[in-house]
Amino acid sequence: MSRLHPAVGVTAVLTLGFLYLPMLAVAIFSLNQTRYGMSWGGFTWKWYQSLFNPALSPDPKLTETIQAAFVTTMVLAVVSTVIATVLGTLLAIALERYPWTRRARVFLDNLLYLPVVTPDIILAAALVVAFSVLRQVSSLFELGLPAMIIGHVTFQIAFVALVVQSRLKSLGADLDEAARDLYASYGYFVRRVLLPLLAPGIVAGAMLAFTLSLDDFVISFFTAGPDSQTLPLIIYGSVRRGVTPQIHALSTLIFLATVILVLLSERLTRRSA
Amino acid sequence: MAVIRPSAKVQARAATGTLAVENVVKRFGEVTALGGVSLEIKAGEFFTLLGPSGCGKTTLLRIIAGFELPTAGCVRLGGEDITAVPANQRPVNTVFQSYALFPHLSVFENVAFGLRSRGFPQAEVQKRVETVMGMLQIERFMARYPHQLSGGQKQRVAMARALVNEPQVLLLDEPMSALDAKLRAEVQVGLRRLQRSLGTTFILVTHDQDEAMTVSDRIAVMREGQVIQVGTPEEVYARPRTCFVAEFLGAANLIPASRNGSGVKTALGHLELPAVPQWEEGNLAIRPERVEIVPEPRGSNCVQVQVREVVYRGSHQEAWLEPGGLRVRAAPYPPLRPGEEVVAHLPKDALVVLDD
Amino acid sequence: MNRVLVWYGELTTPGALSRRGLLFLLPAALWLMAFLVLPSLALVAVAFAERGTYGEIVWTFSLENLKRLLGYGLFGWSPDNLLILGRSVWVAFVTSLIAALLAYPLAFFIASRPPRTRYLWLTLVIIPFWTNLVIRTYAWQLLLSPELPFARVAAALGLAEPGTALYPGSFAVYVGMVSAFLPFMVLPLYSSVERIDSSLIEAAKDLYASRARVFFQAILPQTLPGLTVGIILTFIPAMGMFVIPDLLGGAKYLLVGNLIQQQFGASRDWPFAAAISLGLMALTLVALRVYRRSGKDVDLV
Repeated sequence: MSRLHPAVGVTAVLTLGFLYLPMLAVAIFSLNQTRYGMSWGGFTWKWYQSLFNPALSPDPKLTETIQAAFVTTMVLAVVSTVIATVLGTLLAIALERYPWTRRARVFLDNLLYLPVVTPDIILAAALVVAFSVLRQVSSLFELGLPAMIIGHVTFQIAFVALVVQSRLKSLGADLDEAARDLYASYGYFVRRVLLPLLAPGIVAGAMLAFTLSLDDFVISFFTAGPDSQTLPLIIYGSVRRGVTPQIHALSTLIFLATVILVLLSERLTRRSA
Repeated sequence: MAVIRPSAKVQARAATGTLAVENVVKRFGEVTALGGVSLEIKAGEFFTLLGPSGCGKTTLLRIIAGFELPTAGCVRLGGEDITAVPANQRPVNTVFQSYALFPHLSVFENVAFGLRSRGFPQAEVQKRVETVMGMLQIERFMARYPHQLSGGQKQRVAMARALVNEPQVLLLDEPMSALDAKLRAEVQVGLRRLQRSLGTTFILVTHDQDEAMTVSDRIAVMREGQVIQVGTPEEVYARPRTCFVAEFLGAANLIPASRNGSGVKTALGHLELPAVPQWEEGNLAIRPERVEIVPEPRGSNCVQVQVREVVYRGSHQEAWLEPGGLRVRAAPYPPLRPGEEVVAHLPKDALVVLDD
Repeated sequence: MNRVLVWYGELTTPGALSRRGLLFLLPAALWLMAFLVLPSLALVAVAFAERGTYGEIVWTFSLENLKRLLGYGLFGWSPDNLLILGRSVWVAFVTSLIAALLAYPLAFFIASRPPRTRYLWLTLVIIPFWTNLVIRTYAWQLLLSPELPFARVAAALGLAEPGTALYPGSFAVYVGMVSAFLPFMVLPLYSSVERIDSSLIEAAKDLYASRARVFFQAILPQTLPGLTVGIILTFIPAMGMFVIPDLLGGAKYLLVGNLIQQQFGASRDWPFAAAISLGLMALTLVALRVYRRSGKDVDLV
């Protein structure tokens, strides 16, 4: 690569700065003594402490809401990721290793790409409409945690399937044949060869699904019930009412958790590559 | 693979049946990969399917392994029809061209795979894997993973993984194509010895005629989905039946000829043959090393020629003669000179009458 | 049919193979049918229904909602809704353009780093991309508030009134959008830049081409695949974006996502909300069509 003009480097670094500036501001204000307004009142950890201990919080009710929302967010992310990973992996195997007719394949491909290209607000709108009908059949479809899980799984499946499918593509038929040649039954082959070899892809797909769930706002916003708030919903709600440093502290923690998750998944995918 | 220590047990279980391929046809859509192939491979034989790429040799091997079904015809092992026996129930194992080692399993577990999938008890697995690993001298790599092995080591693990099952027939799909030339020569000799000591039927697929000649008891030369000629390396080399076989195995002078009394008329003049050809016009073949340069004409089949070009090759010299563009491989001394007039003798018994 | 075949080394029949294939396929396929395809069809159906007095859906076939979307309301024709749709397309377009302009230097900069540190720089780009959008967006509210340097500088330059925040408004929406979608542009673009054949660039320089010509004739064509993927990944979600215009655009700068949410929420007019969603979906499909026309495969993961 030829040498770059210095202006390119400067623009690049400024652009990266532009990406991090917002989080930097939030992190700084999360350490500010002043509760209202933007003036600097000195350094403090108290907003972080107040997240864990309602007694230290100037707004104990908010702390409790945040703690409940943390549980909801995690339950939502874990449950939807588990379901989506199982369904997505099975789907990837079905798509990659079975001879479907051309027509069926086109249909399935579209089914897979639909949730990826559809703006999430449309998926959310469709789910709200569908749930309003289904609610008459079962209370499971009341807005709330189960509805949110259904919504998340629906957009996660495609991403898991795409990641696992690309891993399957890279495996080829040789190992299948080798296992067969060595007297393996189909079940033995799946247990001892296919699943262990897919594992890095499945883990990568699951991490992607997990992060997508944590990242989602719109689907949760449309399908949440009164008792099932996620952290992004709490933050959104408090933005409308006026943000407090406690929210800054919460946001900073979520950001740090994201950093750790990203680094972790980088490591995992790098090792398996 | 220099030293081979076959286990008594492996030897005792040596091959039991003849493998017969009967009128096997394989079509992939419009393409005919095999156009009616019949072969009989005796128990304990080292048999090679030789041919250029696309000749159908790998397809035939895959049919024997159970990875493809023939469009017509059948495969019998020891008289029993195994055409529709699933790959995982055939007493046949394969060494893949890519080796297809399981990347997530250690060398030991790779070798043990075939035993474990049949539910052998741990003690038996341990014993048999260790024996075969000792035989192929890969005990040192037992705990390693495939990506930590060199090409030659992978090849031996692939061999061990197949042989530990004591198959009646071992199929080898170009197992040496990934090795460098020097190592390949070594492995070929080792493979030959291993097969001898085990007595298992080996079927090798290759496009390398040297390899085929080195290791095989018999060679089947294939072309465009047909077996052209089957025979021992000597037979196939010295008595090729067609122009294709003559040229595919080593260098050959092809001489167009027409029948002329008991002999034939060629660009080199009249030549006497060991047998009267069946055709009116056809081809003769003679290997360059069988053409003799003699001081003066004596008897039949001597031709006055001129040296056109000489290449010195150390152990021998190679020359092209006019007329006829005859290629000669002669002792390096005395050296031939371009332009020199010499007499070439084409011994009667060295001339092969080809079918085409 | 009892025809047999060998599939991935397994001797089986077409029937047995499809039965097991269906076993793998059905769980996910049924899920997506139930919670993606049927709801989408329901959404389409609702778009042709009517709103009842109490916000309920009245199942009489009507084109009223689509007419309203095109501007024919109770009080004659008004461009409001079309304006919002047009604005959404425009915002998505401008966002893609600015993001592409910023992504080029960044992609080249990363590609020029030593190979071992490149992935660190890439990770730096990926981290904001995975940070929750609500957080990143309200952070811009914070940054654009009147007490902080941005607003002060703007006021000093006479671009804004002193003591006011730089949001809500179009400027804040663009800032938020570009920062949200920049990683979508940088990552695919980088993968193209990394593969550039630099000999072409050297050749162009040897021929004394100007910097602009080097870019347009040697660099741009080689990075076009990455750029198109980046544009599609930016343009489509930007059109349907809801959080950013909601927090940074306010009532003054509504986009189609906000309109849908308003109709679902406050106005409780589901049929009209569904009609707007159809409009957005139509725009999405047009964008994809234009993209497919350029003959590229969507490489999304």
